[in-house]
Amino acid sequence: MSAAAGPAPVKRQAIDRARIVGLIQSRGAILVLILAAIVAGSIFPDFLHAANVEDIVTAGTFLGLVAIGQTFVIILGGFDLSVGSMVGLGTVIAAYAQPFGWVPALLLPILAGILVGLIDGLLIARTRMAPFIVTLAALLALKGAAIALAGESMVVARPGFFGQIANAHWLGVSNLIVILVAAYALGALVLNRTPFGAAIFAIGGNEEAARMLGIQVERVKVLTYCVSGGLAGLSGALLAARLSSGISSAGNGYELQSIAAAVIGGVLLTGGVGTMTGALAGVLLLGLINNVINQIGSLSAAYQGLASGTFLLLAVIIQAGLSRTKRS
Amino acid sequence: MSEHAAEAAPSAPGSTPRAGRSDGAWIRASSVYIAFAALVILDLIVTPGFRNPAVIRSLLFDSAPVILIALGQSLAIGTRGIDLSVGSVMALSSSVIGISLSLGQGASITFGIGAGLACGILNGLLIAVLRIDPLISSLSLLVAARGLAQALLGGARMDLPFAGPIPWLGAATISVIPVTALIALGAAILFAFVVKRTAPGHYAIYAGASRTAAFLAGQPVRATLAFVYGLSGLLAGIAGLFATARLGAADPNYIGVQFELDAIAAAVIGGTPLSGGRISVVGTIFGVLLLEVLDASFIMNDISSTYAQILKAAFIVGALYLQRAGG
Amino acid sequence: MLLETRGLGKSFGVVAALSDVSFSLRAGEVHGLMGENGAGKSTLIKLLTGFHPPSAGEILLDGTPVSFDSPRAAQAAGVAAVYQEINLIPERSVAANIFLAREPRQFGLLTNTRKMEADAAAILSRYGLAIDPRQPLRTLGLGLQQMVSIARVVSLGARVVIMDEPTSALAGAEVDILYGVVEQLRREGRGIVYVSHRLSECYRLCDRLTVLRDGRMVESATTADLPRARLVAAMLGRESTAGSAPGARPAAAATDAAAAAPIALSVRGLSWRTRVRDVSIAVRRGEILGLAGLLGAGRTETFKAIYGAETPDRGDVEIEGRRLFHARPAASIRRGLAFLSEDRRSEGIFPKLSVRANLTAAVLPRISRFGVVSRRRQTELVNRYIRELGIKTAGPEALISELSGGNQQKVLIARALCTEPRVVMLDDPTRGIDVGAKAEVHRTIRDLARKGLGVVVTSSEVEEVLELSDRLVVLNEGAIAGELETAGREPEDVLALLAAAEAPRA
Repeated sequence: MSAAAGPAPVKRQAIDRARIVGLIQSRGAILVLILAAIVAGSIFPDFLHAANVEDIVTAGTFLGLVAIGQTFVIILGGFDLSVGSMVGLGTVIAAYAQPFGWVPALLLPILAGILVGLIDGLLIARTRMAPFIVTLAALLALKGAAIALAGESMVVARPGFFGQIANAHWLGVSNLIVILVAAYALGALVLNRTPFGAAIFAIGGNEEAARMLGIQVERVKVLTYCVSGGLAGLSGALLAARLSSGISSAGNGYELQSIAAAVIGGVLLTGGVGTMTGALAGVLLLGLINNVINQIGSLSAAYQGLASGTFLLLAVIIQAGLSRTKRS
Repeated sequence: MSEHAAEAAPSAPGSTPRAGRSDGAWIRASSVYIAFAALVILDLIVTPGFRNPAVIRSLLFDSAPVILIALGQSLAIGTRGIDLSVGSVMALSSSVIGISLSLGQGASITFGIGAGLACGILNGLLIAVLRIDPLISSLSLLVAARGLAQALLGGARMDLPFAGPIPWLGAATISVIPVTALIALGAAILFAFVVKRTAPGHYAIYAGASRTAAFLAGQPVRATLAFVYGLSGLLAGIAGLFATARLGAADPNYIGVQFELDAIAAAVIGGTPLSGGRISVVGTIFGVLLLEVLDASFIMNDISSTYAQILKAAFIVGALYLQRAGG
Repeated sequence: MLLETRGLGKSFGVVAALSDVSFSLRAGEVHGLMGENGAGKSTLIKLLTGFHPPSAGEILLDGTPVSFDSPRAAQAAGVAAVYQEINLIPERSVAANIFLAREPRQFGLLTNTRKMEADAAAILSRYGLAIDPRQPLRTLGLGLQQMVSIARVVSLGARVVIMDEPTSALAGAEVDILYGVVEQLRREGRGIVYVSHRLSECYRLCDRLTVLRDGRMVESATTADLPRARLVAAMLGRESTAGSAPGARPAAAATDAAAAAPIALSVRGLSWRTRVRDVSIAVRRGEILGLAGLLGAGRTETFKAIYGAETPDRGDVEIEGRRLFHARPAASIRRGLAFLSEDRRSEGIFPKLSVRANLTAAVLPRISRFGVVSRRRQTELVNRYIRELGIKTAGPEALISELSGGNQQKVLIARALCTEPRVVMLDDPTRGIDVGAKAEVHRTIRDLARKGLGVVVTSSEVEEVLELSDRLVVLNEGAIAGELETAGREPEDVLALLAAAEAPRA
């Protein structure tokens, strides 16, 4: 069983197997996404039309932004269950702020999200309470705050330029797609090419070792939750711009869908492993499934939850198996 | 000091209070009863209509399913695990009851509870055999079971007939006490017996106190975990039946939403630490009652239930913080 | 002198972990630091690397007194340690691990990955390590991971490199790589503190050897002037307790009787990874077999492999002639094999639970009917063993964590006895308990043998295991190095065996 003690060829084999397993973990979702797109395209002629693809991606932007932050937090070794409620609160704050101009309407939700992340992060890093408890409590509190502020929903008055941000096109591409792609590119850059990103991986991989190696664990944790909260706030602002309204229940369930997207994309819930491209593939795969379900007239939207749940469950089981293979 | 019996892990009912317990620990252990009593007294004074039997009845109707899932939750937490799937499993049980109504209500009850048990066993196998962290496996089931529940009923609500055993469960009372609450109480007593007096219950507590020591003592640690999560699923299945009966409809979008949070909160507030190795059955039940009375107090005083949510969140964080302070 | 300590001491509360240690290290020197469990090696390392402030004495670097308030500060001054457990991030690349938290930058914010990888490659090749800096750390063997740790501290400018048991996890070829790295470090004029319990290795690598025992420096000499026997004696503390040696034990009669008794436990050809190598032992009913060996000789691993807590790769175990298939501890217990772990705190007791729950943890099936645990039979057992073993407790419901170490150990022995075992394996049963309790535990162990059980016992003290056992098996690096009847033997005979065993293997 112990490859380490064996002769050289055995060891090489073990390394190759580990490498293949690693590739499946990080790139599997992209492969599944491409296959799914080909299958869907051959069954539904309209599927691969530019308009439909644009629909999938723009609809995925809001979840996609949240999933970036969620991916950061999961790689760090935590969870952020407060993001869904933060999106809802973000839409409400944007609706309140719009009369004062598009700048506060865009920035205030982000700032609110960062503040929430700061509180979550401090509670988690300082008191060492379990992340899922702290952020679950935040989920409740934020949802309550959104309802208290806006009731069920409120209209964004005179959206003007603010509305344009989420509805106009730039060089023929929807602004939302531009924002999504830019956000993922930036996220990948931060994660893979900055000391902050390296610190996130290190803490998720082995928190004690990271501390010993000189990483300021508390600060990185707090900052990571701030990133997640800020992105949820941005997602809320854009959603308000898109829908011209603040809806307290907007983003309901994003906390779980973003976790599902990340995990399907090969981000390990045990922390320390994951890629931005994988997470994006996970988001698009969920979007694609929703789109296909809509194309099949006879299937109701109720199947979307089943599909994403099944994918999540399979991903978790496959990852558990792969991780075990890698270790042995 | 009757609560003592209920908290002392495998060591037993009727035992003498342990030596060396500080006053601080005593206050933590009994804080749920103090908080419950204080809230009830406050309500009796300020809340109009709180003494009305209808209020008590409705409160108990709402509490019954939550008590069931909170019991399962407390055992999972006692093994130093967690079960996030209970709310969704309730919804699945509800949907299965809905689609199998045509087979007769008796059969649909069996299928609904069976669906809960099946979910629990699946969760238990993921944890015990594939060794997936309970937080992760039950989170996946939370998403998947809700999705399946919605798909089974096509996302719609399905009203139940007005006659038969299920509607009866949703309305029957003995004096002001709902039958479902009595069943929940019976289940709690049985549950307490299992935990305090039987080998599987003991094993669960041992596994939470020290996995390695339990393994070296020759205990069936993995089988125990499978049993614990299976039991939690079974209880969630019954809770789904109760919630469906009370609502008068199978509704996968409504039933059990965020109930996992209430279950965890009740267990934690009731004195079952997240660090495992201890479980308080009576405390858990009072934890549920406390949360339910809290909700009712807000509603009856015409304060938005959203504030109740915020307060509940604060309660959970506060209870956990107290636990930490107690080491 | 590169590094020096003068009268260094450290107390935790009233316990002195280290006292009056004056240690020195020259540039380009490899200085071996040796000692058994609790000798104070790790405390010394922690003082040198700034984990704890010393309670007494001073540390001098290049002749100047220094005080480090954190490992960071020690590292900045050029003192760093590489630990036995790898403290790196397995999923990250080798280069990222070497440069974590101090990555070379470009454009202010971004990591200059190319420079990082080139620098890592340069460092690795300087030490003759053929490692691709881009591959994930986890794909390397443990030995090479340790080399990466060394590369990291060296690239941080460490002039004093402390290696904490670097070879305990290494396979043969990796040891040679380590030796190469140590030679290169020496050539570069760095000082190396080499902590190890393998004598042969220290004799091969070190210029000087220092032995700690009970927090004091008991021996320090150049390697050439320190014979193995004297080193082992210093580690195990013979000279200080020679006067109180038990001397002739009236054991001859007992041994003769035992020689005729049937075999209780028989182990043949047992192997587990590199930690247990082809171990064969046999214990008769009524016999106490001692397992001796230095730290890391494989005593605990042998026990766990026999017990089924680890799955051995090869070998047979029989209890009273019936083959035991290495399934699980549960199966071993059913066949009459009981085991007491040396790690009482994390593998023995259930700290939050009562004496009652702890004592009966292994026998629930026997005191249950249809799954319902009989409280009456549980109480009988608990009361009986509290009485028989003289367990001092406020009562059966007291938390075990409120008991003294010796009484906790008695509860665990009682837990083993409840299972009505034929063979009992006790791994260092008197560790961390006081003298009075020790004598009681010894008496209990002898009683077990008198009742006809086969007993296997270890101890970190040679006198103790010699005094307790009828026969002694000496382990070294996981293999049996010798065996002797204990009647009339002196601890020196055991030390001689240990020292001889540590000679370089062919």
